[in-house]
Amino acid sequence: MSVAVAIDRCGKHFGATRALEPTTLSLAPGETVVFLGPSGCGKTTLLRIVAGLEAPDEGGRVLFDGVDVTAVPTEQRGVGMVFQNYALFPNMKVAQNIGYGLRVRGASRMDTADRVAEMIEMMRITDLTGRRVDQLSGGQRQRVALARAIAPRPRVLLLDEPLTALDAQLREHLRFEIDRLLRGLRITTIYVTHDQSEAMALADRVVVFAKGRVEQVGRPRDIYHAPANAFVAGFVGQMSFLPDGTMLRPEDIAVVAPDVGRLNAFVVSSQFLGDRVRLSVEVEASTLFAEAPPRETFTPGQVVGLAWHDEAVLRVGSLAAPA
Amino acid sequence: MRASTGAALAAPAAIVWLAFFALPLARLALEGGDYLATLSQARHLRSLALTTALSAAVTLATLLVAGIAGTFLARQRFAGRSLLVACLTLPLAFPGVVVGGMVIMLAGRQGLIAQASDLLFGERIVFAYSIAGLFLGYVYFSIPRVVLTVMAAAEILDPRLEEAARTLGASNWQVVRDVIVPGLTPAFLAAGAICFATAMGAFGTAFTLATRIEVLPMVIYSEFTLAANFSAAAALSLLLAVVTWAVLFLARSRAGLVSAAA
Amino acid sequence: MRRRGGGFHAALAVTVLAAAFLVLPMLMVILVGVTANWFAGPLAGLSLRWVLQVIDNYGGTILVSLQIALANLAATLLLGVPLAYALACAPGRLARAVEELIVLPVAVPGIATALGMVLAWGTVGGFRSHWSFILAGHVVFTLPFMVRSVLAVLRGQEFRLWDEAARTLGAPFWRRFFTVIVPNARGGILAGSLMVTTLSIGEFNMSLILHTPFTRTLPVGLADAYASLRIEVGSAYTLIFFALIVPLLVAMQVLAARR
Repeated sequence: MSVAVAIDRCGKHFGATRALEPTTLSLAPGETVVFLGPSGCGKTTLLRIVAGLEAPDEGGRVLFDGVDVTAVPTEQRGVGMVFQNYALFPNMKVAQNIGYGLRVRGASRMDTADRVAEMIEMMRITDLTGRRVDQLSGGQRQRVALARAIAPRPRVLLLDEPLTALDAQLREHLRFEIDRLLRGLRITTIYVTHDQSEAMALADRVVVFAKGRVEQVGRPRDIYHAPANAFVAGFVGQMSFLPDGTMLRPEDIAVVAPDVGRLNAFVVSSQFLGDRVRLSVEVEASTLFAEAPPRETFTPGQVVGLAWHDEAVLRVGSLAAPA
Repeated sequence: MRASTGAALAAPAAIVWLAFFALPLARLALEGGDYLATLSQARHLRSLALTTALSAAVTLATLLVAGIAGTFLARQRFAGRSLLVACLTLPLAFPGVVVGGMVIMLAGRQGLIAQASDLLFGERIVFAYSIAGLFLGYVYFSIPRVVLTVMAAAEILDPRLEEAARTLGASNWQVVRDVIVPGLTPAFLAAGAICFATAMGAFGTAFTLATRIEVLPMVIYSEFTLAANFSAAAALSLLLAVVTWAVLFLARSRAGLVSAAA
Repeated sequence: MRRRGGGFHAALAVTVLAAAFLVLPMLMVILVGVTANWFAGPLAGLSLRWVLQVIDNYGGTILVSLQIALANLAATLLLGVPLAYALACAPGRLARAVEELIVLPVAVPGIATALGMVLAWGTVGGFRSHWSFILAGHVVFTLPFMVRSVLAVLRGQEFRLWDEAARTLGAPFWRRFFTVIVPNARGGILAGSLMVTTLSIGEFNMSLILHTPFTRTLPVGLADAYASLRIEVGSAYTLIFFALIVPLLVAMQVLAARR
């Protein structure tokens, strides 16, 4: 059921502002692609173009399995969408919300009820069936929204920052669930987020956006270890710059005894983060981050050694000084 | 929503509006004839002056009474509060005819005031059919509207501003003067404008009290039905319409879209 | 505020007096309307004869008013709800301009509109003498209240998102309108309905000029009764008017309090 999605030169203007440069991407059937970037970078705009809620500027096309759907209205595209604040219908109970896409397409009451039951089981919300929307917590609403989007067996699944409205702990927990769900369903999925850890965790491929342009497309590991430019490098993770220009991830810099590593450095300050200690160290007048195991302690002014593997050095496409 | 869908949804209402409002108004404007001549007749000018003065007086009186009552009810809680609110806002959509009836009940020959004064002084005080009666009637139908507007505005006043004033040493009276009144002024202006515009165009009350008091709507009516002077009636109607619209427009542009009723 | 100084009592006094000013005449009207002979006083006896006399002489006006009010409700629902939806989706400037136009019939005094109606349509004989002539005036005057009421509710909610969600689930326009938009605008539709009905039943300024002897509305008849008949008749007539309108007004207050 799942289709290949091709985005061909889709750009978007809103009045005088260009929200999205003409962009070309292709998604394989069943692939999960994450659009990652800060707010206002165009990722949501492109998602909405694929959904049919926005039309691309002249010359842009969207194709599902090679068929041009650019002129096809949203209600006929067969996409499933989960909105940032879920957009559940308050005038319907949970079961009715989930069954809406089926009822609207003329499915019989029995078939709808069966499918709704299936969804409720899949999302593990069995005790919520008869509840009204305002009686649900954020995490519960999110599951209902997912169930509703998936119930009509959409060809493409679109998720617009579905976890952003939840608190950190819930986010992490649900991230696993969504990952499991997406792997199981194997629907072509576009997932929009500004959270890089979500992107890394869920994506088959990541598309990094900034200011309406695609900065890089690639697998999570490639983006993380071989960022195309300084922006991507900085957005996707923390960076440490050595005086000679070498770039490393703080977690790749090991803190060892003085003179045992490749360099010595002074400790400026240290922060205990629970699962590790983040150190701010100074080397020849430049400051950088390094990390140490959580049970170690440091004092400002202390001398430490820094060590790293050659493979950990970031190879960035075009080097620019960090802002 | 596509523009064509929006236009299609709005079309039926637009057609009705054009046919039964825009067209009639245009026709009215055409019938106006010699506007200047009509507007310079002494009777008409007197009527305009009288109506404006009456409306202004009504507005001030209503703002005072309803302002106090509305602010009070919005900010205090006590037994019987809901009853008072209900009493003050129930007559909200009463037509002028009914209000005229209320005035007769209060100030007519058999009215409350007449009977009370008869008991107390042996003499019946009757003023329903004078300008005082008209004034009373206009205040009657203006109070509910202003009370609602003021209550709504008072409810969204930020209590922290008052608290700040208190911590700086302001007395109750000073808080009212320096924080509450300035905070409510936009709502007062808006409500006052609506009150004024409504009073200018009020007709049913004067008609029912069968007074000879020449408020503008009454003059328009008599020109139309008694004198069959269509052009004068039309010209004056248009004048009245422009004045009330202008006042309401100013009120709306200053205070967002304030509801004219409830 | 918990302070109970002199200010509190003064304001309370003003409030109570104002409330009394509004309510006492109403109570009086009700009393007079059921008093056998007001000159003799209510203690001399109550009676329904005046009410019956009103129904006898003016019963037709009550029916006409109700008929027009019902038709007005239907018309404002059919015209106003879709319009409100269109305005809620429209860009800000366009929506505001259209709202200004819609509200004009409220800003313009009823006599002016009615005069214009007579001048513009008075020559169409069949229309002029039919109750729909008055209905037209009422619709144009009450429509803004329905639109504003529904619009206020639509604007305060995420209905645009629900509309998009329903689109992604495959619902075509009218399906979305009736299953998602209208149910969630219920409160505004109800409040608007009560308002337009109340306004229609009580409308006088236009109805006086638009009516004919066969299409007299309740308020027009009421003015006639006050002018020409005993105070008991006018009061009984007003009593009947209250019986129609006060339940609607109370319903509006209850609805407003619940929101």
